[in-house]
Amino acid sequence: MNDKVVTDKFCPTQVKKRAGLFRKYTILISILVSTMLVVGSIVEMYFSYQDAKAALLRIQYEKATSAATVISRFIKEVETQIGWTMHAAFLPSNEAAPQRRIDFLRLLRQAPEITEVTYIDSSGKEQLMVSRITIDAVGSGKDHTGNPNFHVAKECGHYFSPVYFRQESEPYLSLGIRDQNRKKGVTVAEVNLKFVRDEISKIDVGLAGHAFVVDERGLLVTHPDLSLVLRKTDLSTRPQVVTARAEVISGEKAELGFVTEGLNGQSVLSSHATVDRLGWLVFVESPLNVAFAPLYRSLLRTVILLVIGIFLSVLAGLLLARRIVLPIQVLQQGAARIGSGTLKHQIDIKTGDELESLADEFNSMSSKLRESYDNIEKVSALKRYFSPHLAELIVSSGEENMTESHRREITVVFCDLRNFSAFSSLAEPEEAMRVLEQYFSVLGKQLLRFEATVDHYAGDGLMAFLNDPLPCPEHVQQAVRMATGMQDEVGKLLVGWQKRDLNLGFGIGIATGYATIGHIGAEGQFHYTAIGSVANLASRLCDEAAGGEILVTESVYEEVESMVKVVSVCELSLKGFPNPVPILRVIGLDQ
Amino acid sequence: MTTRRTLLGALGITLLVPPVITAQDRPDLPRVVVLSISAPADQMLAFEESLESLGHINGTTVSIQHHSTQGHKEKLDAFAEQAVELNPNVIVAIGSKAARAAKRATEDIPIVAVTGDMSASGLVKNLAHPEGNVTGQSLFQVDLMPKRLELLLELAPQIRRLNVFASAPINPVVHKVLAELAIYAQRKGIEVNVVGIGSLEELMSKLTTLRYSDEEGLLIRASPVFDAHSVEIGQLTAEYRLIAMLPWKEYVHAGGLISYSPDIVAAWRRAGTYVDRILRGAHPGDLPVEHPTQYELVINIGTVEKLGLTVPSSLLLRANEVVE
Repeated sequence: MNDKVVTDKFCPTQVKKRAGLFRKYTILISILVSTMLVVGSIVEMYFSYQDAKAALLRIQYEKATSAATVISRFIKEVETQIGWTMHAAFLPSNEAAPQRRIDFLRLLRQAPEITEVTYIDSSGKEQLMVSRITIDAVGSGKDHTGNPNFHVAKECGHYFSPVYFRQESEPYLSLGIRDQNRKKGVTVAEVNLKFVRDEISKIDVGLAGHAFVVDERGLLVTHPDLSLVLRKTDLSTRPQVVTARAEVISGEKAELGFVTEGLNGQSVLSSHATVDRLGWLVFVESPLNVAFAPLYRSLLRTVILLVIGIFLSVLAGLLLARRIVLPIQVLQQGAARIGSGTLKHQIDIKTGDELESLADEFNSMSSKLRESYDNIEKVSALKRYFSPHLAELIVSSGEENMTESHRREITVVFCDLRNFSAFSSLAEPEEAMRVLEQYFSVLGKQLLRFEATVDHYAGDGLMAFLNDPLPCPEHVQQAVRMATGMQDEVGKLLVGWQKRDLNLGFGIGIATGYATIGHIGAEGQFHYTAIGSVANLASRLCDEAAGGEILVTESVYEEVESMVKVVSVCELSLKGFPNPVPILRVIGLDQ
Repeated sequence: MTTRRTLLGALGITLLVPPVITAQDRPDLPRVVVLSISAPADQMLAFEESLESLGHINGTTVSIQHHSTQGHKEKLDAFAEQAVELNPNVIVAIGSKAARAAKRATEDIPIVAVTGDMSASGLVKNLAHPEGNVTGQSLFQVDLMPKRLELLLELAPQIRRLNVFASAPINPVVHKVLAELAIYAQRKGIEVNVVGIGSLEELMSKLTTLRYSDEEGLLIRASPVFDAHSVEIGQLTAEYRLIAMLPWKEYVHAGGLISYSPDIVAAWRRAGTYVDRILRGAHPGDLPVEHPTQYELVINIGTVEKLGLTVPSSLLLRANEVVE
């Protein structure tokens, strides 16, 4: 098994196909944009929530404080009203009682929230009781000394009783006020707290919010739903009440309000304020879902926009990635195609950036490759006829179609070794070969140097010509130069050979003229050759040439007149030539 | 093909026929039945207005039907049963007799009662937590009686006997309060005479016996049986020059001497909110019985003069309304 990897010249190594650039870029861009959107949205939502909550709490707290103020004012108003009845105390006793009665009646008219008003003298005895619903009592003398309404009011000047209920369900407050003068009697009024509810319900507590009041024991005093009040609902354990009481005791206000559970179990935003002197707490609460409804709506909008944004970012990612990746893919496919042998393929990218110049590089590289392959093919085709070097030269000069028969003016050079056959029959084969090797090596250099075309090798000689297929502008001169060069070099060899008792000589014949040139032969064995009298002539001249001689024709001499020294030799009658041909011998070059 | 045409035809017909059905016929609306011996118009107006303001419009979103016996208390049970058969969402009962009749007819259907004294009527366990199917407005009428007498005495201190007219059969709780009243009366040297009145005719004849008397005082207890004819009775008391403390200001407007009563209109407005709550699903047992917050003293100056009386300033100070 041959493990050596056979590489096709058009497909050097197997390229591993990698994909995923598009997906990578898409995901990267999408994630980047989405992350920014999400982070931004979350931050915004958080701050919106905080802002909305703060704004709401501020409003609620203000409402709570205003409600608390309303209640204080209500009580204050009642106190003031009662206060007007107390002027009777300044009158002498016989006038005081009737005046007081009149004042009390007036009070009942003016203050519908007062159900009953009683005057207790400084010793604790009831002197007058005027009521809306029970029979009045004048001078009953009933003892109120044990009643806090009396004794606390007497001591402290005023007294607010805890909320109590009449007829099991009516919330009432007893309000005791002491006389201003020395008499120190106490006026006690029974205040129906349903009227406070009316005051509270007049306050605008916004969408679905409500205000309610608890007394110092945590019992509900007023509430939009009266039935809760009448049911004596105890809220002392509720978190908002507990917190509020703690704040009252500590005197510190931590926040304007907080989220807690409302009376009906819903989550609410709760704020509170204290009513002066009574120790009551006013709560203003809004259910979260209603209070925050606009916020939730805007949050929902944000979330929807976010989702849309993420979707758009994915789209953007796709589009951008496509823009980036598509040229790269075109490049990659193009390179693959070129790599697999389709050298004509041109990569088409017009992005106007580095990718386009990369594509251009690829294209020029592929066309160069194509050129070079073409050349290699041509050269290899020509190598059938010519030496590799010559083949390359021919191809690069663009004359590769010259293998077809054609006529051209050429200069033919024949040369061979004198006495070689005699020598080779006597010498050892190895020695003969060695000589020939040296000889042809030298000749080869000259042929190469002057880019001469070798027609054929004949034992110890050869035929070469110039100006075909490679055009040679001064082919005659070049032939002569080549010949002299050959003589010089071979001459050196001859010297060396002579030392070994080899008596060889080297002769050259040069002729110039038109010849027919082309390839002859059978399939597989072609031979590029020149045919014509010029070849014969050169051959005959070579035959005539002695060792060291270069024989040329007149036409040759005409061309090289200025650069060579010649000696006229003679006129030769040559076979095949009707007239004797003048022959000249080139002695040397005029440098 | 034919099924499609049929369908289209049916659809067209339903679209063409307008909803002509009246509220009374519409079984789909929530139903409120007002059961009473008599239902004074202004009170019913206050009630319906209260319901309207809460979104229940008679004929459109709710159906309010009045079942009034027109003064015949013996028909109450039959009417109550009829009302129950209609399967209303709420029964509104005016007066404790109607309320009791309703309670006898159903233990399930919520009843909003507007009565003189809810605790006396025995309709609820507890005023703060009624717990049964009855709730409503208690008008505090029974306990108001001594005050009424006091006010009457202030106007006419010369009376020697107080006749208390109450619709028969008289609630035992009334007797209890009357006993208290009697103590007070005794201190003033006044005899108390309680008379159970069975019908309007009886009332009219009894009124005749008291006429033109300076020493006979009259206190008519509120009752739907009498209230249906408040104007007549009022006029009659004026004609007979009766020193009468009447149950409602309507009587005084018609000529009666004086009345001291709770603000009934406010009570009916509250009754409206209770009906609204129950229609929205509240349980009557969770709604506490409410009492009036305001009372009205109304004096007919014309009648005062006709009787040769004078209104003391103390009474004038208390008066909410003075009628010519």
